[in-house]
Amino acid sequence: MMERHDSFMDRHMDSDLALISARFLAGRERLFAYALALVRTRAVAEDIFQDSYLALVKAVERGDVIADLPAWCRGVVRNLALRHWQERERVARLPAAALLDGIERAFAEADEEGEDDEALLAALATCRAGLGAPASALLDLKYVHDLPMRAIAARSGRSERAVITALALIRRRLMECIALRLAESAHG
Amino acid sequence: MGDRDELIQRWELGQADAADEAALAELLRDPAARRAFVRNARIAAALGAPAAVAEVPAPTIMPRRAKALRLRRERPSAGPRWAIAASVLLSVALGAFLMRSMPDHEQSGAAHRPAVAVQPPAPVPTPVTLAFARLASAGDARIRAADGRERTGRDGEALAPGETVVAGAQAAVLVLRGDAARLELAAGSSLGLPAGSADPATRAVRLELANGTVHAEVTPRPAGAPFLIAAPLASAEVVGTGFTFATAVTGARLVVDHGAVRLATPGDPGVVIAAGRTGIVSEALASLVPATADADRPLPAGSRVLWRWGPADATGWRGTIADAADGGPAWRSVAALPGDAWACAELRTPQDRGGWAVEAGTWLRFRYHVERFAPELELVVHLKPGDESNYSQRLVPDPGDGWHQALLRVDGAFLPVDRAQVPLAIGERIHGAVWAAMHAVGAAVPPARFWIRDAVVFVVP
Repeated sequence: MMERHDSFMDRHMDSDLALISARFLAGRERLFAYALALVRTRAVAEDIFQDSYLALVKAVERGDVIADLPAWCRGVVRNLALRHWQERERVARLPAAALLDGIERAFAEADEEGEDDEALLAALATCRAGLGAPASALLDLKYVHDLPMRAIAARSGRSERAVITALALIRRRLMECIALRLAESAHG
Repeated sequence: MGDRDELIQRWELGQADAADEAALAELLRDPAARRAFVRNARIAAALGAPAAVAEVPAPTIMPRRAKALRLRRERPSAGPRWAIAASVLLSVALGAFLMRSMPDHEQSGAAHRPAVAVQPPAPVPTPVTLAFARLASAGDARIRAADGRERTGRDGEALAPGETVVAGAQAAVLVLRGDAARLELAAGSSLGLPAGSADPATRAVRLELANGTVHAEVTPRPAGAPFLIAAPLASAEVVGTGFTFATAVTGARLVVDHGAVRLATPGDPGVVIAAGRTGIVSEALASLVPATADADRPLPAGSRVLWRWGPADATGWRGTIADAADGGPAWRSVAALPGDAWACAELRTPQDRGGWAVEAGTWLRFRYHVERFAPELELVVHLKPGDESNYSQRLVPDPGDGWHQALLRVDGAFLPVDRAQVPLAIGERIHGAVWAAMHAVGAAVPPARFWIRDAVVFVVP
């Protein structure tokens, strides 16, 4: 039992996998954002992100040649999202392939353009700190605690529609603030 | 807010209808909209970190505060498990279970011994002497020391390597040092903390479940620090983070609440059981499902075999996961049980390194048996290329005793899960197969257990 485990660990530390894992790690923030953009539920996105790494480990073990790692990972994430929708949620209507293609293209271009991660997150932190307590609390319920709208509505004593509207307004303020900050930093 | 941002946000908040999605697809033809979409998505991802963390600019998503972690772990699929995915896979050894999930006539004991001797666990180096666990809730548990002496467990009591917790009529709860894990030991179960259970150098943890059931909530592990629960018959590599593990003499059962756990047995690296799914290992299936002569028909004359899975002879089922020590077929079943939130039972082949390529005139034949057939049940067969995409066919399984045979055209007949509906094409390389018994969520059907006896892919001339 342990021998197999050790063997697995040994394999895991193979230079190929170590190298490709390091590259995977370097792009994890964007890949996770991509998974979240597709499924829009943090817990599901985390599972998919995790499974994508396991698929990568298997692919490396099989000796698959992966020419474009970010694109390969996005492909796996998309497949896993489709599987989630079809098999776990059994949704009646999958998102259109054209939409998924558009999202994939957007992230592929973002990889090439390489927006400044640090500047974006710094702007987010600053802008988030400027929100009032109620707005922060609402954001936490949605994004930190990953609660569904129904649960947020129940906790905040609002209607579901009111929660959606409030979140949209807060997000708009955040996006505007972030755009402003980024423009300021870009111009020194 | 412009239409563009409104659309993007409706999508992100899960409020987009079909018309919105079509509009968004059109919108994403514009490069500026694509940039806005990605920025919005990255901010949504980063917002998952609480404000106190987000106030410190960081190049990547940072771990959440402990409070947030606790809140999230209360949810069925939560916690920053994405972080652990990029670290080394963890290990959990797995023992038997099936006693609870099998009918009485299946629990006959000695006749179901595994065909392959169980490897003893390898010794773990670097024993430690410090207590590394405590009894958060002792119930009426007894603590057995390494020298065999027993004492009554007390709430908050520190436990040391070499000791075994034996739960009485009540469950006992253990917490590992540093809140590394919370372990709920079911009534009548025994969990050992052998010498060397905790390696302070690597932070590896190894526990031994002698009998019974333990439910574990494991916090994300650092790289190279496996969390392992060993039992006699099987093993599982934990990717993270919450699972229930039970052992008995005839098999093994692993329920993954969230995260993922690698389920394996001696000689087989195993399979990852994803959140919400149940992994079952059994060596007792031969006696359950007798082969029928009709199911043993030979392949058409002149057929060329591309791939086989399962025992080559037809003398009876011995394809348990424990038989796979020499690289032979590994059999594993994942079952949906009443009350499970999901409704899919899976059985998957090992990944075939080389795989096989689809040719014109390719057929898949497999023999199956469904236990406790229900009309709502579907049997779905997936053929899997290496990128985790899925090509599938669905069929209504035949009920009744014995093996039944399914014969499915492969080329041009298996369709992808994606709605693009481009069928499996000639030349596509397949690395594995998955059978899934599915029923509608909420349908009142009995446990969906099924067996695949063997499978063969062949080309008819």
